[in-house]
Amino acid sequence: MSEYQPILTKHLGQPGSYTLDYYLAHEGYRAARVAVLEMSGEEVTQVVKDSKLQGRGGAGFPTGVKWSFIPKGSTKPRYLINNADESEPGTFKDRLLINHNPHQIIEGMIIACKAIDCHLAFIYIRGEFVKEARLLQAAIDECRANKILGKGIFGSAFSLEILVHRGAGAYICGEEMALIESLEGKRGWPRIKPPFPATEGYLRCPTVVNNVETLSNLPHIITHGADWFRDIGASADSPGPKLYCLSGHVRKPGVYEGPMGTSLSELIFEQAGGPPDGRALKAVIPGGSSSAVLTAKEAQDLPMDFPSVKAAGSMLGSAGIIVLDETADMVQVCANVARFYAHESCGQCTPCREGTTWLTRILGRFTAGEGRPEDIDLILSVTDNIGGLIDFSQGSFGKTICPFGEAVSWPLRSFVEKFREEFEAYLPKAGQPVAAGEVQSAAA
Amino acid sequence: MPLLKIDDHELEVEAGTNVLAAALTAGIEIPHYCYHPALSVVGSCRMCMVEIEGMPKLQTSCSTPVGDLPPEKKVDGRYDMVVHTTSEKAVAAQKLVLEFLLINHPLDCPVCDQAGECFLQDYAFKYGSVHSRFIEDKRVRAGTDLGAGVAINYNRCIMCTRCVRFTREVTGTDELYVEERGDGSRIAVFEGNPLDNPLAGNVADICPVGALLLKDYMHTTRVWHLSHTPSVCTECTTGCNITVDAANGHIRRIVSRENQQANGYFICDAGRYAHHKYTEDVLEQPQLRAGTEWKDVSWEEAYQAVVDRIAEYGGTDAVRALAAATLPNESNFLLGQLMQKLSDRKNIALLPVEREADLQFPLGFRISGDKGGNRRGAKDVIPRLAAGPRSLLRDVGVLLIMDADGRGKVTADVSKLCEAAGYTVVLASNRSDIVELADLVLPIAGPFEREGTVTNDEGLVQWLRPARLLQGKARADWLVVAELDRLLTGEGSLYTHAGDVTWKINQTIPAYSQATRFKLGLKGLFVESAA
Repeated sequence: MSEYQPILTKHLGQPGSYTLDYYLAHEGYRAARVAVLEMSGEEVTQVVKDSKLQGRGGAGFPTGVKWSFIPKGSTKPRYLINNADESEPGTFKDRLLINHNPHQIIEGMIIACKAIDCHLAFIYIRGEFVKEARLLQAAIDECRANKILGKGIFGSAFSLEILVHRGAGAYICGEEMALIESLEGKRGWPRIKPPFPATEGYLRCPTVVNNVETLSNLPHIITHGADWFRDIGASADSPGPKLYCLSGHVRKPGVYEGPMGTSLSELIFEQAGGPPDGRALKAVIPGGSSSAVLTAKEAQDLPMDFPSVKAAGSMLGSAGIIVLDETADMVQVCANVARFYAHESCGQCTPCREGTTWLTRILGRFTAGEGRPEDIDLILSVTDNIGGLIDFSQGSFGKTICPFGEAVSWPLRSFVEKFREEFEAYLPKAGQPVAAGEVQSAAA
Repeated sequence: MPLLKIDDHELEVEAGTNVLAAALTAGIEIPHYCYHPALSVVGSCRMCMVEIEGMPKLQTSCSTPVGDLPPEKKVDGRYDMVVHTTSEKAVAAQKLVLEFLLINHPLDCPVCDQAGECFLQDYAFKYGSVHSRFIEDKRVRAGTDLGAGVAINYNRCIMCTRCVRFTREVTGTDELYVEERGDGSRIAVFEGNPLDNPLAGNVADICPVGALLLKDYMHTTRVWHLSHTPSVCTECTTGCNITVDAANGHIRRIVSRENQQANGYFICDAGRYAHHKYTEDVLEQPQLRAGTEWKDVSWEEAYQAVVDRIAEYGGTDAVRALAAATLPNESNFLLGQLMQKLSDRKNIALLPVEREADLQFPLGFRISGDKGGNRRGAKDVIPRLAAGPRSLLRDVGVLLIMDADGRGKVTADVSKLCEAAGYTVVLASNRSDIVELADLVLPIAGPFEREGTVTNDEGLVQWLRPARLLQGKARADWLVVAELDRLLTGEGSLYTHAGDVTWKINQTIPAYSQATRFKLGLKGLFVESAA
């Protein structure tokens, strides 16, 4: 990785990297100019398709293919929504991109809008990102003043307006259908699919929802071509630069850019400095809190790209890598994750609404030392009932409207399956009254 | 049209129909809570999951449309979709959803008004487990009053959001919304903006569990003690289909009955609570005015009084009548025939009734402003109808008035007519302003004791069924008119049942020739205007 030159975060930390002047001085908006003036929408889509760029929001769906689902010949307006509702625990890459290089995102949006013939795009930004929302708005204002946005971009007939919309801090509004509902001014409840957003999204019009990092890749693909992009990283099926967010028990937490398929060991030990005080690695959550946990053994030398992490029984997701060393109490981690999901469940469908709270309460009993031996299997059974068994060959089980159900059950099931003995250690010993102190010592 | 197979049933359905809708239309039961045919599909309860051949995941049948497949792709060479509702996977899904719904649901069926007609109770028996795996304390919240006579018991709510969608889509009034999130979600109203619309009571009807309750009905009767009479509301000219639920001769509640030809799925609150006003001041005995007092008389005495007074005040030629636009076609028809026999003049008109503006709701539901519920029928079956009470003034002797169920208006013309008349006979079920004009009152069946046909403003003829027995010595409306006919003309057929009069209408009024009692059934039949 030493020879890898950062692409997305190249200008990170440079003074004024967020200004239009800086961006223009560093070849900014050249790709957008090419896309708008010299390419047709179909050509842009084809290049992105050829590049094999996969969505960086978590699902990893091929971006160019997603664009091509917009019905041909539809007379309805099309919309692009930039999903900047970065709310997956362990993920903080989009925030960095917005802070340091907002114009790269806007340029990506112009290219995407050209591809799908969209003239009004939105940035749906997480409510807590107050500073970032202002920064984006300032960048958009700069662009408008310089005819990069607005009517007749770069002197062409192509027009584009971008609106920044702040969310209200709900995790579920990062899910594209909930995001669209929220953007329409409604409660952030995911809509049932089909119809998919590409046919009926925002205001029931064709809509594409792309992640911040996905869009940031587009200027580079247009500038350097699909072949250049496909050569980045180990796997030609899952190529490109990738931002990895390292947090948890590492000495140097932060965002690291590397090619797709960078090994997990390299990221944890070489880049982030490994667990502090020479402690041993216990487990890694590879793709944000909704991905299944990997044991240290499973995580060793695992290439961080979509197919490899999937093959290891988890998912690359948003590449929010949470590192857990030997001091981590997996029951507490599990209870914490469950509590998060119970708090963030939108409450629309039955299994998720009732099941997440049930799990939280069982785990709450567990951590208070009041678990029963049968509770371990009960947790497994309830997680299965919310999201379905982890069977990547079948995809999601469809027990809930949106993937939230799976996002709950995959990690929780993996915690219990892979660290069952820690759960058993929490059980009160037969015949002994429960005392919190004893439970603590038993776990340690 | 696509051919759909659900378990052992084969159905041809319109392309685009959802599996659940197709199943329900064909009478196949797929358990469901959030789906309601009148409301948008949200697919949130997850109860209606079925297994569909060729699809790896289970699907919510409420949101899965049936489409046409090309011939080579048809399942078993002929089906466009094959659905299993009782397969191992489907039943497992139904069971797991039910477990989730029941973990926090109180076991208070013995005191819950919904018990006996509760889908949660029914499916718990069918799919539920005897033992709960849930050992935590149940979620408990205090219930509250939502307004418009509707209360909510939060503990029983399963968050199907039918009620929220109802106020959003059907009434367009948006009072209800979902408050909080996740496990804390609940149905609520904004402060200072309670549930307040003329259709509010329907939210309790469409609630699949005992969460939304009509305070009017709360804790009055167990539903299995109710007799259910399918009937028609005559409070306005929309002609909503209702089911009148009574126990021990008392009407306990009125709920809506689906009829796409009339009201669709819902009824208004005015109709829903109409039965209360007909239990007050019920007339149970013929009464003669004696100064400021009323004196009970027998039917024989009452009839004799009518005959004597007609002789006293100008004979049969001077008899005038005001028919009621709220009464069934049968009594109005017989009254029209009688008046025709008594004189060649235009001697009958309609009693004016209350009228207000129509109320139209977004999804098409309409509350008619015309409170004469059977006006169209009265106009169709009464020949030689005069324009109004004013046209009857000349030479009036004895005046017969059929009261319009308390909605008759004592207009200046009506007052003048009564003053001019030597003697006023009123046929009524309850005491009203019109009854106050009478010299003699004849008690007749009230709206929920009547039998016969009514015609709504679009020409839909429907059969009215009595939900309770006649009160006291009251007689059927058509019977009293038929008896007067025999007394005054010495002729008149011997009708033994309202249906006999309906048959006579079929014979006499060409437009109504097909509207026979048996053809009307539960949904009614459209007729062309008789005029």
